[in-house]
Amino acid sequence: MKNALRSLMFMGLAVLLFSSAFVMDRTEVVSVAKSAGRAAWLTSLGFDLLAEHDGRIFLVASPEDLARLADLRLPFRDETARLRAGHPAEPAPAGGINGDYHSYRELEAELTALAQNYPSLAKLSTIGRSLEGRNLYALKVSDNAALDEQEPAFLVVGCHHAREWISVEVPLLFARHLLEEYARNGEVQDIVNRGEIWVVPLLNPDGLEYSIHVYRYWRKNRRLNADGSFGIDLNRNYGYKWGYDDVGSSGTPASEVYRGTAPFSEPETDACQRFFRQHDFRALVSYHSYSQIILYPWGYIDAPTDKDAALAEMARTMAELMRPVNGRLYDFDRAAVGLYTTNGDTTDWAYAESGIPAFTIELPPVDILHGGFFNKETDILPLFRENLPALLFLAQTAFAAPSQESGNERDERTAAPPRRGGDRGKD
Amino acid sequence: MTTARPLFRRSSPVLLSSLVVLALLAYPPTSAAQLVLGQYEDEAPLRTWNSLGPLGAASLGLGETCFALAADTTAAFVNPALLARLPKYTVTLSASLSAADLYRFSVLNTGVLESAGNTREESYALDYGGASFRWRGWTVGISAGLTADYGRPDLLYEYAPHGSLSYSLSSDQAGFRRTFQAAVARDLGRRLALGIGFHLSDGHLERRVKEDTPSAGYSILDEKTQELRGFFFTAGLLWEPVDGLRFGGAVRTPQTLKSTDQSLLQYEAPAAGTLIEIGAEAEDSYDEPWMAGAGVTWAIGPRFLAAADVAYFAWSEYRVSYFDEPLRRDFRDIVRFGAGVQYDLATSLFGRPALLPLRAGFVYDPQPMKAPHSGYRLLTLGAGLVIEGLRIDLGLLVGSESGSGRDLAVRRIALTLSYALAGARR
Repeated sequence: MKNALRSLMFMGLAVLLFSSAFVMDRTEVVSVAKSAGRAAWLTSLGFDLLAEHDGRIFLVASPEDLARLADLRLPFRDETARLRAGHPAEPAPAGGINGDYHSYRELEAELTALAQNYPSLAKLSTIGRSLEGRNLYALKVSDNAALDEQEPAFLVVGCHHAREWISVEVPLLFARHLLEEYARNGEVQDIVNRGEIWVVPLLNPDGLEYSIHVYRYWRKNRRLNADGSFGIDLNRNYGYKWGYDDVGSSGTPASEVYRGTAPFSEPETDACQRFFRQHDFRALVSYHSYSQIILYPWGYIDAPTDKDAALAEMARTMAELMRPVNGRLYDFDRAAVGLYTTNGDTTDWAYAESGIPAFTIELPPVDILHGGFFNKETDILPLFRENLPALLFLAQTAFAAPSQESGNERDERTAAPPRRGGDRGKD
Repeated sequence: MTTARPLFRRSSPVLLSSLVVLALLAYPPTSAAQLVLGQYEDEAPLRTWNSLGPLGAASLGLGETCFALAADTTAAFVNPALLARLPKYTVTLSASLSAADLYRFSVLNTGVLESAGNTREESYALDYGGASFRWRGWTVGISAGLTADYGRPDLLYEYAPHGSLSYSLSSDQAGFRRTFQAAVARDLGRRLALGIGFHLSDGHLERRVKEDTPSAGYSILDEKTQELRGFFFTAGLLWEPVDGLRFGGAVRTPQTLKSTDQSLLQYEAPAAGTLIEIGAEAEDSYDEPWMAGAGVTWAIGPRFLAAADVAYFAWSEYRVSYFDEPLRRDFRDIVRFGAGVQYDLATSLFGRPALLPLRAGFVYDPQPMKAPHSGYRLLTLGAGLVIEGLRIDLGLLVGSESGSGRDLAVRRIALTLSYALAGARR
């Protein structure tokens, strides 16, 4: 507890320093040992003191100030790099065998730390357990997070597919951004006050661990199938139009898009649907990679939903908001048209279940030759930053919207005959 | 599919019993074993987790008994007090040929590549060298032995429609651990001896998975290397209450095997100028558990010897840190049992009296994974020649595993030469 408090104080100090010291060029933050009367003495000499922490006095120092400290024969320690590393806008790399990407344990630690560091804004829940017994975490971000205020909710899910490591990072950074910016960003504050943002960054932890430790391109979960093959494609295991055809999913266990033996047969998808039904979700984003495209229902057939125009307009707006950040243009379309047909996927089910805007965002790169399921570690933050405005927009829209009619009810009226397309690469 | 590499060590016999029930009660969460490869985690030595040391052929033939049997200097690896029962000057060399079946490891039969049956790793090595000498009731021994083989069968899958390579996936793993020992034993009267040993371990483990898709123009490489080092102590005693009956017991301290790890994950698509690399370095550890065991040899008359051992491995204390993260190993403590009999044929060779020991034994060697419960049942056979100061022993171990459903077979043949420069004691 003491360590936690000290960490919090230090983080606060870092934020304070960065909000002041580094706006000036060539200034540094240094610290000197604290002793009786030293703070007052330094102030009297004209130094710009920032804070006292952990037995040291922190001050902003220009090159001239550093020279004066040397003249005074006062030993000082350069804290600039240390504080810069702790700045919330530059989260420390996760480390480990998968570099800056998060493993299950690293994610668990990070989510726990966020919930502890922001107890009034964040609440960490376990919505279920994976096949191999790992926790499926959901981080709720809201004012009075510990209370059930019956607010509208927005769900961001990551990593249905194990090899899509970047799809863990973007949702996680989104949660982190909301928490860290709440105190100083009016838009974030408004969103967090008006609704509940639920982030489930890792729905397939077993697969992710296998992808990290054994085989990088692993996609499915780790179910041992009856024929000895492994894995069920979690994004083909949802209940709406599950197994509609053998193009949008497969009944062959060894297939990369094996849909399982029944809808929600997997503990991961079952946990997700149960969790979904417990809350008043008004929008959903499911992160995947790769292709750089925003997809919306339907995926199981080439036919529009009855909100096709609205969904397309929202996707277009999201893409337009994203483009200026790094110059990347996200395509957008109905899933079955923009990428390929998928049955039993998350967004079709969410839309059918509750009629909410539900998007699959396939993160960059745009094709396999530019990395496919690989993204450079240095691309993690830029990818998050370009997705941030889209997520904020969607949250604003969701919290402004009334509760939706189930898309399922309308589907029977609007669904067109299924299109039989070829099986393409699966993202 | 197989590669030859330095051999491993042996292990010894077993029995076990009530822990099975306890382990069943502690059965892990549903399907927890699906990621846990159990028998063949990357760091699992070939054949068995329960490594005692590079046992010589005489031990091997006698059901891998080693806690009270002093046939050559390999005995000191397990129970250093046995040095006190070796001839005054003894030199031992041992070599072995081994084969072990594997079914599920790395990318094989874990979801990526499938095999119709088991694969086999074969290896041979000069796996032990040691010497001992005695002076005024003290016996000192030094030795070096190969104590683990981390090799795995090389895997290669190629897809070449119309004769043109479109896709390939290869996986290989190699590695070993060797241990250097210095030990000393002290006679405490005629029927009691004590001994201690210091063991230094070092080793190397490397693993590589490469995926090439020339048809699409990209490749993926996943390489991991580990340099291992550690140390542990052994202490043992020997008690002979009456002539012909010998009890031995030994304990091995836990060993923290430090590991310096490096990892490189690389994606390359030359045509697009794409190169993505994720590298990592770490200082990790394998906390191997303590072990204790006891054995007895009984000379039933001048030509007949019976031997039995039991060993306890505290595998529930096994911990792995891998690239700064603890890895889950759902292990249980196990008890291993071995027993054997020896009959000495007296003969003469080149006009000199000689003995031809004939040996047979049995080993039960349960593996520490909680799921699946798995254990090897092994038969051993041996023969030797003892003429003046020279001993030549040949041992054979054959058997298979039950529990995984794959009947993983193992075989080991060991040849040990031991030369005594002075007569054997008792």
